[in-house]
Amino acid sequence: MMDSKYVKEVALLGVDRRKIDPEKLPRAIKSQLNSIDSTAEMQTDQAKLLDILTYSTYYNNRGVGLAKIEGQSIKRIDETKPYCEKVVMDVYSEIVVQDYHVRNDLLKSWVKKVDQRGELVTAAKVLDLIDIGISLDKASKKTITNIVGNRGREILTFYKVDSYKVSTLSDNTWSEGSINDRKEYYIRKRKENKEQANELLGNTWKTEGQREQMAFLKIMSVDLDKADFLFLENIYTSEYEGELINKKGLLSSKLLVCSMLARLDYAPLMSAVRSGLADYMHQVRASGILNSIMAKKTNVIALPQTQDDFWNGDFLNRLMGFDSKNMNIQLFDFDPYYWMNSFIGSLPFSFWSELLEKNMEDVVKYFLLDPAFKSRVSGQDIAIFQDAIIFNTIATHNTELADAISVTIHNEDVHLLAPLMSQQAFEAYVSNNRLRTELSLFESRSSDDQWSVTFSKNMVSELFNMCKSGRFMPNVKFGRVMARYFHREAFGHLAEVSKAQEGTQWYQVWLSNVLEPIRQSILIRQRINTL
Amino acid sequence: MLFTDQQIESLAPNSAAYKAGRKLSDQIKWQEIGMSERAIWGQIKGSGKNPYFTQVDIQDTAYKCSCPSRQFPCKHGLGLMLVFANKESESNTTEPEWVDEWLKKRRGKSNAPKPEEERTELDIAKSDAGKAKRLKERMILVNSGVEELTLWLQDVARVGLLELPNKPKSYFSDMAARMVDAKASGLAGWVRKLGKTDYSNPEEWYTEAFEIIGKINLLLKAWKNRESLSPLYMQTIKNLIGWNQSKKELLTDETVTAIKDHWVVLGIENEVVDEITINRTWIHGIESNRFCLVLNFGSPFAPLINTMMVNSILEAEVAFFPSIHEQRGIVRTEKEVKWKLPNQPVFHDTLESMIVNHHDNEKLNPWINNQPYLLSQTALIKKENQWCLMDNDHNIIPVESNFSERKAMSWLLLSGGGTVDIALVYRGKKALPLGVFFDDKYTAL
Repeated sequence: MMDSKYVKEVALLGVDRRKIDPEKLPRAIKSQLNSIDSTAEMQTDQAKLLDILTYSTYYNNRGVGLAKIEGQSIKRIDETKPYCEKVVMDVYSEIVVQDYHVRNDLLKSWVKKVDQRGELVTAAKVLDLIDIGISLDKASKKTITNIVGNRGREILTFYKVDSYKVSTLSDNTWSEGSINDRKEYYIRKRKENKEQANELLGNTWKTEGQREQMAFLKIMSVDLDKADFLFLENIYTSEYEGELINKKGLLSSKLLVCSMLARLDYAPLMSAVRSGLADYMHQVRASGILNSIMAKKTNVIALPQTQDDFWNGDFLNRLMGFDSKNMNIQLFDFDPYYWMNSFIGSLPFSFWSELLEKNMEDVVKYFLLDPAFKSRVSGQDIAIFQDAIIFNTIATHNTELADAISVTIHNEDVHLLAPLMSQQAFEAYVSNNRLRTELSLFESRSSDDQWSVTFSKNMVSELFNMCKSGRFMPNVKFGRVMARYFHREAFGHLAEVSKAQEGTQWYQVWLSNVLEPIRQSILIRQRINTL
Repeated sequence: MLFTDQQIESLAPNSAAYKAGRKLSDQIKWQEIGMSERAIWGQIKGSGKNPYFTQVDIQDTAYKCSCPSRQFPCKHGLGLMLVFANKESESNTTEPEWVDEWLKKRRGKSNAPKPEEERTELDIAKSDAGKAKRLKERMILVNSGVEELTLWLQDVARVGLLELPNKPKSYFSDMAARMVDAKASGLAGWVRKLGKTDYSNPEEWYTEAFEIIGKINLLLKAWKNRESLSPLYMQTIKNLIGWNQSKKELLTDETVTAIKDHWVVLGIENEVVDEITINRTWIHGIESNRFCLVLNFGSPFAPLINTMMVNSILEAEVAFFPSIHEQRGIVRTEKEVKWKLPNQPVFHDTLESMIVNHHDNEKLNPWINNQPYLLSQTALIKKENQWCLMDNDHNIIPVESNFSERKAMSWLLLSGGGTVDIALVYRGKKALPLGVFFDDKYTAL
């Protein structure tokens, strides 16, 4: 370190601007320079400065003491759990070199397994795991924080902090935290005890802003439970019942509260809806030859074309929180159809089954296929209640409803329900509608799903035929996604079919994009299961 | 155990090659796979009709593969090693002919130096005359380069170093190129270093620049006064200026210092300068308490071949290039690779003792750089956003900025935040931690 201010000044400014004054140099350097001067030929000022810098370098290096830190305590963190055996870490090494689509699912299973074994990842691999684990879901990340041990958790307080944010929620969070922290806190409280969570929310409800109220209601809607009934009833009776609301946000909150109360079969609300709709229920002869012969009748709703006492904007706004006006006149020619759409979007489907005395599938068919509920837009017949049914299905995570829709219609909007469909319905939906190459459909499913043996085999055969005829060639991503869901018992079929095509032009692509990732995935899954 | 994943990774020419090799680490992909005391081998299907023949000499690390890759080891070599990674030497099969043939060739090559062609007196005289002529020509070039650099430095001193941060990159790179033209690549390196100084750091740039200029000036003066220096010192100065040292000659030169010892491979560092990769490997002889820096070079036309695995302990003879302070060397003969330390190495107890040792080394070679040391009971701490090493006396030195956050985390994971015996490289008053010692093992960071 240059501690001589004078040398620094001359060196920075240059000898053209600062003449060297030997008297101002440190004594040791001065004496060295003198010894040179006496022997060397005429030295220029710039040469002298260079010599000064040379001496200063070594002079200063010797002279500087080390910095000291007092009071720094060194505390060693020890682990209480054992480290993984080599065989477990070997599986990890296999997983991390797989491609992204296969890797993450396998890694999730492996992480879970290590946690179940009560072991820790070996220290040399902790950082790798933390880095790779960033792309995993929240639950897996939490498991990772378990298996990296005390040292790993300490590291996570300053390495990749944002990705592995260790929750700092406390009792003060509710009163002092940000909206995101408070939402997280409410979710956690709901998991522990819903009544207590709602008590907490009830205490501050009136001071919450509109957006905050809606945010908490949405959380409640996800895991709605009987324990929420009192809270919702209280909100409904004190704030919404009979009130005509014009503010959009407030109206959305009221609709969500009413929708949840309907799902909980809140008697005052549902009896009003039931009695209101009763006047429009009719029996008509069921369609179909057999039904005609048997003179079978079926319940239908005959909606009026104009407003009346029930199908009335103000009334339904006060009752359910619907818009007072028809906001989509292009799709809904008559106002009552618009509010019927709101009913379908917010009431549980069991209500319609009961009212129409039809099973779920028939209710769906009725609402989606009945000509009375279709509208012609841009030259196409549109099922006017489709969006509401899909919305309701997604909002209530209703697998039965998703399955019923999947067998009734097929279009891109229905694809949105793929994650909710049962495995059987999903496979049928894909097969019946020839959607085997729709990668996004497969990707939307939970990674815990597994295709049935039959479906796996059929996928292989169908894709193979498509490849042969040049209609489709699975790319790398497609093969990786297949590997995620493929049933191991169908692997024999895959191998057999593949072998038959050895030597063909496209076999290498098939091998590297499909056969190999699936084989690897199955192999690793087996190894994880045997740990 | 043959190798660990980390060691194989350290041999890979780049991370992509390692990842590709990992994908080939499934034994099922290999045919005719085998292992003997001397080698591992296997055949693997590639994109061509015939499989690739891959073999690795595990005694005197070397690789051969029939694939067209220009990387060494190629992904097949890495894959093959990974198949055997973490495995005990269990199978011992007879080497197939193609492996045996290669190993015999290798052994023959490494043990018996190529006999020199018979030369007549006239040939020798011609050769000597040619050498003398080339030396004379080079001396003229180097002398002119030294003069040019002296003037350039004096110009810097005249206008002041405050101008340096404003200079374009070409100011330094042009001068470095001129030094290369003058066959003084060592001087070119110093000029490049001056150009690479972090001039955006207002607290440190001038200290660093002063020091580099001071050292260049000393080197230029030493060159001019070389006739008054001892032959060994003169040799050292020549090397610093840019004279290459022949590895080939060192392999057979009986006059140089050669030490048989257990050499721990402490760490590897790659630096790319003008498309040339400089590969530095630091090794430490446990019984002799000597350090050696093994340099390898790679270019787009000559791939870097790394043969030393970090953490391994080589029972080997290391020969040092003659120098006033022997630092660079090569592994002359390698007998065995081990993973456990035969003895505990000797550590400096404090940073102070280490730095005193460094100053002693600096007295011998004022331009000393990249010198490793062993330090006991060291903690890694963060002070004002800067990683530092803290010794038993609570003295600290900063860690180099190129010591990655990831390496710091590795250290903390291995040490649990406590103190640990370490190996480090000391340069420019900063430390580059290389690895930690635990019980009878060494783990590079």
